[in-house]
Amino acid sequence: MSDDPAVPDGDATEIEGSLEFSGRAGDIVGLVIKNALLNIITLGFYRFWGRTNVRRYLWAKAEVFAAPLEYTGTGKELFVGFLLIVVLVFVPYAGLNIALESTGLLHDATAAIVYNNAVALVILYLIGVATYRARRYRLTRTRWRSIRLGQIGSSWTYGLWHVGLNLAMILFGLIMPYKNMKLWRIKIRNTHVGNNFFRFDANGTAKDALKKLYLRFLVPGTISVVYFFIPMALGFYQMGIFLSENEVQADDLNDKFVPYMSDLGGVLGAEYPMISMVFSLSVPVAFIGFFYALIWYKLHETRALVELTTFENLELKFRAGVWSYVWLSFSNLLILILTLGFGLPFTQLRYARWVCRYTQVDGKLDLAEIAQSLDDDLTSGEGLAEAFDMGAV
Amino acid sequence: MAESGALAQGHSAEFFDGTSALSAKVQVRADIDRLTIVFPADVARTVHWPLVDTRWIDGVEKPVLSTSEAPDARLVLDSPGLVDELATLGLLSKGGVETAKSRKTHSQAWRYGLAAVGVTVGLLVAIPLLSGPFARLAPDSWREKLGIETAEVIEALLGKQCENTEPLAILERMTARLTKNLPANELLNVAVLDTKMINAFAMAGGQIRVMNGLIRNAQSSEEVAGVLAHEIAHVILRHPEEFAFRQFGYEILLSTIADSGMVTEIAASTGLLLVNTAHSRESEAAADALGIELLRGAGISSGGIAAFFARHASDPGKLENVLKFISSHPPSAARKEMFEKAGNTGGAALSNEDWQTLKLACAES
Repeated sequence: MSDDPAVPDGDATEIEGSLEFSGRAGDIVGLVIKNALLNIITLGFYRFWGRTNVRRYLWAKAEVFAAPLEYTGTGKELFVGFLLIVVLVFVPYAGLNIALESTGLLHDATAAIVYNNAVALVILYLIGVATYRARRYRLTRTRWRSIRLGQIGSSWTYGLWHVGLNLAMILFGLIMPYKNMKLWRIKIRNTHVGNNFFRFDANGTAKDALKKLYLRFLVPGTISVVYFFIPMALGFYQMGIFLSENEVQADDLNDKFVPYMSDLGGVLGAEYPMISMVFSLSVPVAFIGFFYALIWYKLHETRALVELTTFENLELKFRAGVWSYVWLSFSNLLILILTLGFGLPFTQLRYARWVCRYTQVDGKLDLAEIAQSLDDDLTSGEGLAEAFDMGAV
Repeated sequence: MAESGALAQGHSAEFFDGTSALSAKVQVRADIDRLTIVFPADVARTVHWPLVDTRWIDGVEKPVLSTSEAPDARLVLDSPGLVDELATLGLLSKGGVETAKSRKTHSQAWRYGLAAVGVTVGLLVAIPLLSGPFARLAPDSWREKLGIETAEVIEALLGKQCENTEPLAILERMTARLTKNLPANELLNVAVLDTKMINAFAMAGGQIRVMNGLIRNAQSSEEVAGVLAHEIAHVILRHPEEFAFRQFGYEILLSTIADSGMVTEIAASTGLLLVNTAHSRESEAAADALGIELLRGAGISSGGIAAFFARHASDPGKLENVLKFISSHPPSAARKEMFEKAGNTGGAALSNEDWQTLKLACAES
């Protein structure tokens, strides 16, 4: 019996392998053109269906341990989600604006500033909520070996973490490594394949990893403090002197303040000749160095976060180098500019290929352990849950 | 019972029952209205999928089938023979992605690519081509409304209108002199804005705003007349309206990729900006040419405007040279040469007395 190739080997339910992406730009040229044309004819409303077709292709070309992913989402779902966004967010927002406009409350400068900041805060919050929901939509619409993926957890809670940590980062930039790890942790721990969840920090090494990340973060951090925050502080200091010595009225902002600000570099040069000479000579190097250091840090952060992520007995590694990322970003940006944005699927394809090429999966997975999750019905998630699927892929 | 051909044969496939990630090797054959799936490892087990409930969901690599009877189950066929035949007979509805299926079509990518470039270029040509005629057809009432709205925004951003009546009357006479050969119903409204900026704008509906900084900076009244003639030329050629239509067309084009992410939108806008500035430079050159005609008709020398550009060619505006291709205006030096070549040897634009008065357009009395 066991000689028959069609008979599954009773004990060998464990498999191992890698991530492979076999999609090619040539395959989807026709699809991209069709989407662009239909988008133009329908004033953009075809995009939900166009995007779905692109996703189906990208998913099918991504093979995890030699089995392709399947995308089961539909254009209709995305369209309904968009309509819900319009009804639940844009219409109330427009109504609120009209109401406030008619009462004249916003003519008061202070009230207008408070209102605008509140709106910005709400938008930042909703972006967090939307990110989480979009991720859940894509995961629940993904199957691997017939098993649905999914994401639990409240998007409203995630939105709070998102807005809180990002605000904290604006006030205190050094929180960035912690923020990124925290948000990654929430997403990973809530992600499941069938009834099995991804794990983050299974070995309790996240704290050590974070310490190492902070050491690396010192490089771009120091450059930005030296070349951005110090000149900015000096600039504000000089500006304060100027404002206190000259009585600047609101009316002469254009005539007095703007010319002064445009000459601030010269003022600083005269006040601090040594600093500004060293500064201006080294700025080009520092500028390039800062971006290199930031990408270098970001890749190490991704490596660390990926390595802390496990699924069953599988361990992940990410090994992309700085220049490969720079080249990918630069060439993708060029594609977007030259195609006026319509070439977006090509950039997504190239990104997927890049991720798969540099991601390594170690260990064996016991397929018998991966059972379909029963409490996560596909249909239950429709409608509101997908209302925020605004992601690029 | 069984039919002949590929349908009756057993086709090897991989079967997922949808309860776990495990799969089983199976043999599939088609019986009249259903698929019969047999398990060589488990002879007692047979699964039937009615064809009406079965869907071909994936056309990319291996064909994948699913059934509405067991939505989580999947049947992955090793080769497309069976499903191709069923689809040909109309027994199986086909879904999935429409893509190039064979490797041969990869070589056609070039042709597709050229087609894509063709479509994009076609649109980029069509929008500006159509916006010109649309602009000339636009009714005056619409032009006036658009112009007033634009002027309000400009004034809020740059500065209020100066209201000294005598200088404004002089400016009005200069305008009348430049436009004496034009139809009397041509909409025109020239005003001076209180800002140090050295610039002038033409907006829809004949709204022209000259910045006080330009008047103060001018060395002669011919310089102001030259700039004014240039802006009037924009109005006559309906460039602001054309720009509005073109922008509207691009907005529609951009809206089709809306919510594709910020980077995409910025990149697309950059692409459009590059295209748009090329058109702006054409408009500037056309306005320069018509401006010279207006000056000639009014008997005003174009030496003034040549001097104006000569001065601004040597400005510290080195950026202009760096961004030559992005700048919406032709380089000042090239324009200076053009105005000199025109060889307009007319007279002065204003008497010395009027010129001194015009300079006080925004002076506080």
